[in-house]
Order: sequence, then structure tokens, then C-alpha cells
Amino acid sequence: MITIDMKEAGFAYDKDTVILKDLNLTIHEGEAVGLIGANGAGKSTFLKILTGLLMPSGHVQICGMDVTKAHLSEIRKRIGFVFQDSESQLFMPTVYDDLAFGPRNYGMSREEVERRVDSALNRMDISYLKHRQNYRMSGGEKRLASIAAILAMEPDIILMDEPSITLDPKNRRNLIRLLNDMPETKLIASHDLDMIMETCDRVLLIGEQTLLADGNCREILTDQSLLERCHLELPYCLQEPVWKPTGNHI
Amino acid sequence: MNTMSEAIRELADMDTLAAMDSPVHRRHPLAKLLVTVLYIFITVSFPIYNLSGLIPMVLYPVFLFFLSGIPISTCFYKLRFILPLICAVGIWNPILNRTSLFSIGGLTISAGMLSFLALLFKGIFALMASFLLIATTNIEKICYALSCLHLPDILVTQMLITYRYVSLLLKEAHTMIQAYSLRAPGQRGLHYSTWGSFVGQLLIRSMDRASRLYESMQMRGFHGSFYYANVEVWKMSDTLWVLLWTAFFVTARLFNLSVLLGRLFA
Repeated sequence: MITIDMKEAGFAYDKDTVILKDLNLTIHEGEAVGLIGANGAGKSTFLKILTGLLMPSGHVQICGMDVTKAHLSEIRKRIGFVFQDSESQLFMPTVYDDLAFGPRNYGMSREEVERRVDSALNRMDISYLKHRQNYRMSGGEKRLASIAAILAMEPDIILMDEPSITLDPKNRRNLIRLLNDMPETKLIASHDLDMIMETCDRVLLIGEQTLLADGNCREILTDQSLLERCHLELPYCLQEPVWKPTGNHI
Repeated sequence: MNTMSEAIRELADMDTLAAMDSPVHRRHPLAKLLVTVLYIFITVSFPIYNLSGLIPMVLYPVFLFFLSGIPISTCFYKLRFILPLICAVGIWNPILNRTSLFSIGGLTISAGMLSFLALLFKGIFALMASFLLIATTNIEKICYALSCLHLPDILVTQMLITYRYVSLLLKEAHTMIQAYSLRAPGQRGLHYSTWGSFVGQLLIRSMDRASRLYESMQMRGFHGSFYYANVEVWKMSDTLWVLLWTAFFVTARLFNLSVLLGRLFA
């Protein structure tokens, strides 16, 4: 089943400021897709036009619904969007309140809200943060809580904008494990190409205001000339190591 | 430069206090709001020379401090900037009105002194009650209580968003001041030549951040009004809370409890 369908889609602030154009692609249910591109290439804009936070030109459909004002409420119920900046995503006083915010807005019962909050916290393995105040969390904890806040919505499609930034290696590893276990359709925008390699089967490469490449993750992420043309590099795991591990410092 | 981080911390501290658990915290927000408003209204309505009648009103904040587990020192620390203003309100009374009323152990008490003390106590009591309301009820619950009173949704949401926006504005200002001070060592505060661009940048940055926050809210089903599902249901104990305090306030206002108690023990 097609969950995301774009035909001649794009976004421009005005006729002189075109951010994205001629986007043609389909993403099927359960697919894990990486979205890569240089800084300012339009990755965040790409994600925002899928959610209707920016209104796209052309034809964009989410789960069979056109991205228009009439369908926004239903579309947003189906899509979870993890923002690049966790600080902006967490605005309630405690983690619990933040996780419950979405389900409450959709009028769910107290029991259902409680179940979803607990389930999301368990999935992220951060139950200990349940009653923590947002102000008193580290950057990494905020990132995990903001992902949990989206999981509590139980969306069909999860969009993530740089999910691994601010995470330490252990939490990054946990996130990769979690992403691989998620059955939902995922679209992950990131510069962390190693993470994209580990979590996605397919990659969309954005550059020059449009979709430059769409294909198998391994094929695109090993194409050095294509990546360098787009101000990217091969993933670290494919590069020649600068230093060899010694492992006898303690 | 530390003032800003101090302000952010103090704002967060209020949320910490409101997140505590106590019999006062568990009261329905509307019950607390109604009792607080009534308390302030009755406290302020005491005649200006009726200091002895006013004194029993201290029982309400003292009882709440005891029951909620919030230290009274926290209240006075938080209100340290407002308390001098309260003193300033009646500071001229002892000088302008020297009519002597009575004397205690050779110390003559003038009408001005009495009215000054009454004003001071009224102010302190009202502030303590307001502090206790905020310290035991988070902003979402206060807004919920206001919406129970059928205040327009837009006003309530505005209040809630403004509260959140203040902390966001402070955080942005804090980051900018830190960045400024690191590149202007030895300089005290912001140089006046940067005030314009600083304020402009602060506005743009905080608006940008506020819009990201709003986008995040929209993505989670926010359509202009908050949904308050986690609020306690009104219980019989809430009704009792309102009735008992109302009875006490009205009694204290109608009868001089200090005098009555004095007569009892005399």
C-alpha cells in the first residue's frame, strides 16, 4: 500500500525563492527511507510539506489523502514528526505531560492516554524520565523524550529530522536498534550516513532543489562522486580509518 | 549575566513546586482558585485600622504552607522584589497621620502606623495566597480552572502560551548574553550600541523558536485550545474545602476573632 505519493510536488516561498521542485516518488507501507542532502538542501522543507506545515505545490498524498487544509487533522493523526530541535518540541512542564499532549488533543480517554504514554516510554527505555521536568533533562534525554512523544501518538508514518544529533554513542546505538524494530513507515532525514545505512533500505538524495537520486541505500551511499557532488562524504564505516584502535589506555 | 539563568531557574522551580504531591496539590484547581480569589478579596476589604481583625487571616496561608510542605522561606525569597513595593505603598502613612490611638508599654501607636501595618499585612497575605496557588497548581491547571469559569478560550490559551513564551524568551536572551559576554570580556552588561540589534535579534530568534514550538503543537493535534484531560474530578472534599474556608473568611471578616479570643482568655 502506498503511504506517501508525490507527483510534480515542490515548495517555493515565492517565484524567486524555490526550495524544492519536481519531486516524484512513492513510499510504501513499512518502508524505511533515508533522506540525505547538504545543509540547506531542503530536507526539513521536504518533511514539512508532507505534514502540511508548509503547503506544497503539485500533488502530495498521505495514506490516500491530499495534503490540503481539509485533511490536515487526519493526516497529522497518521504522521509523527520528530523535530530537529527537541527544545522546541518539548513544551509541557513534565515528560508525562508532553507525551500525553498529543493523545489528549485527539480526545482519548485517560486510560488510553496512560497506556500510550507508558508504552512509548517503555519502547524508548526511558520510563525513569516519566515524571521528570523537561527543564531538568540533558540534551540526549530531551531527544529520547521527544521521540517518545511521537511514539505516544502511535502514527503510521514517522518523520525524523536529524534524530541522532545530541545522542551519545550508546543512546545512538539504542535508537538504531529501536528504528530497526519499528514496523511503521519511516522517513529519516540525517547527515549521519552510518545510521542511515543501518536503518534504511532506500535513500532519497536531495540537491539542486530537487530529488537527485532515489534508490537502494547501499548503491547511493557507496557512490562517492555523487555524494561529493552534493557536499557529502562516504559514510565513516566505508572510509579508510585515520587511527587504528589501541585499547590499552586504562 | 547570571541574573538571566537565575530567572530561568526560578521559573522552572515554580513548576517543580507545582509538581509536588500533597493534599493541597491534589485539590481541584477550581477549588483552589475560588478560595484564593475569595481570600484576597476579603483580606483587602478589611477596614484600614482593623489590624487585629486582619491577623486571623494569616491562618489560611500558614495552614497551606504546613499542608503542602512548601517552606515559607521559599515564598519570601521568591517575593523579595515585590515586598519592598508593598512597604512603599504605605510608607508615608506613619509620617502623615500621627494621631495617636493607644500605647503599648510606653510606645505610642499612631493611626498612620496602624494603617501602614494593616496595608503591609494585607499585601503580604494576598501575595502569600497567590504564591501558594501558583506553587501548588501548575499553569495548565490554573488555565483549566479559568476555563471552568467560562473565560473565553482564546484568553485562557493566550495566558498559557504567554507563560511558556516567557521562559522561551528568557532562554534565548540567556544564550545571546552568554555569547556576547564571551566575546566582550571585562565589559559590564551590554554596551548601549548593541541594544538595538540585541533586542531585534532576540525578537526574531524567539519568534522563530515560538513558531517551531507551535508547529510541534500543531503536529500533535493542537487546534487553538488546550485539552485538559488529566485534571482531577471535583470531589466532595473540594466542596468542603471551599465551604469551610469561605465560612472561616466570612466569620473573620464579620467578627473580630482576635478580640473574641482575647475576651475568652481574659
